[in-house]
Amino acid sequence: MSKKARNYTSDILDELLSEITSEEQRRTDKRMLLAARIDDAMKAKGWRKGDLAREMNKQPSIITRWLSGTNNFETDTIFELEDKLGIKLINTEEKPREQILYFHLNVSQMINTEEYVDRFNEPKSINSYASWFGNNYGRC
Amino acid sequence: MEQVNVNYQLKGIELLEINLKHPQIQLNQERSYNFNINIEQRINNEEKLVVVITSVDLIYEKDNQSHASIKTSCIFSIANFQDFIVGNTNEVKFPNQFIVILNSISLSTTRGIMFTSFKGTFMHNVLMPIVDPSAFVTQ
Repeated sequence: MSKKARNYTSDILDELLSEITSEEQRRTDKRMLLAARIDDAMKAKGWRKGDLAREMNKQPSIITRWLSGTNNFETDTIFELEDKLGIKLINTEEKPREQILYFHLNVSQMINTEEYVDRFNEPKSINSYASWFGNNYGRC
Repeated sequence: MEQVNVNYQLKGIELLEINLKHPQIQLNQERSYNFNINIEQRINNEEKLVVVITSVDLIYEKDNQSHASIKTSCIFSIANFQDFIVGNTNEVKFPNQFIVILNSISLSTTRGIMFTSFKGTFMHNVLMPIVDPSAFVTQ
């Protein structure tokens, strides 16, 4: 018997998925990520559902719901979870903004390539090179 | 007027981008270029740095095509950064003169990088003109 996984297709499933808006999908994804973070933190501490339920003073069934990724958490519950599990789930600190200043200038310059080649082949004194390059004047 | 000292140091220079595009036309020995210069000063409070990103686009006036472009960054570390933080905000306000100096150093550095990068190419002697660093328009 082949162990290769097959792609499951279903008209009903496709219809249900098409009814989910992108906003709902994003929210579901975030809830699932939150549940996964809690699960990972529990594993890191070697805790089972019962351990977290005891710490949070909740029924184990509540923890099961939290880990299902469908629960709409209250902020106080999240803050308590952060304390008990020793992780950060919500970043409330304002990140310093990067201040950006923009400047613009447009200048035009005429280039003479022939002049360059001639002078390159013809040895000149330092002074004449200085005067040659000195045709751009800056003022500060 | 009160004298304000800024203790700063050039921490790094980076060549971020360089592009050359030889046009499919005969180039005149005399040709005119428009130097489109943009400067971005990124002020990083956490690292106490100012990163000045200079972009220069060289537009050939005859066909209005870009023959070359370059992007560099100069990283400046500010020792007394906290002196320029406005009150309890995250906003940083450096003296205008200092902002102009940073632009000036970055432009000169970019000019040098352009010269060495264009050496031996059809843009060999295309030097960025000397410009007044205070003439830049703030966007």
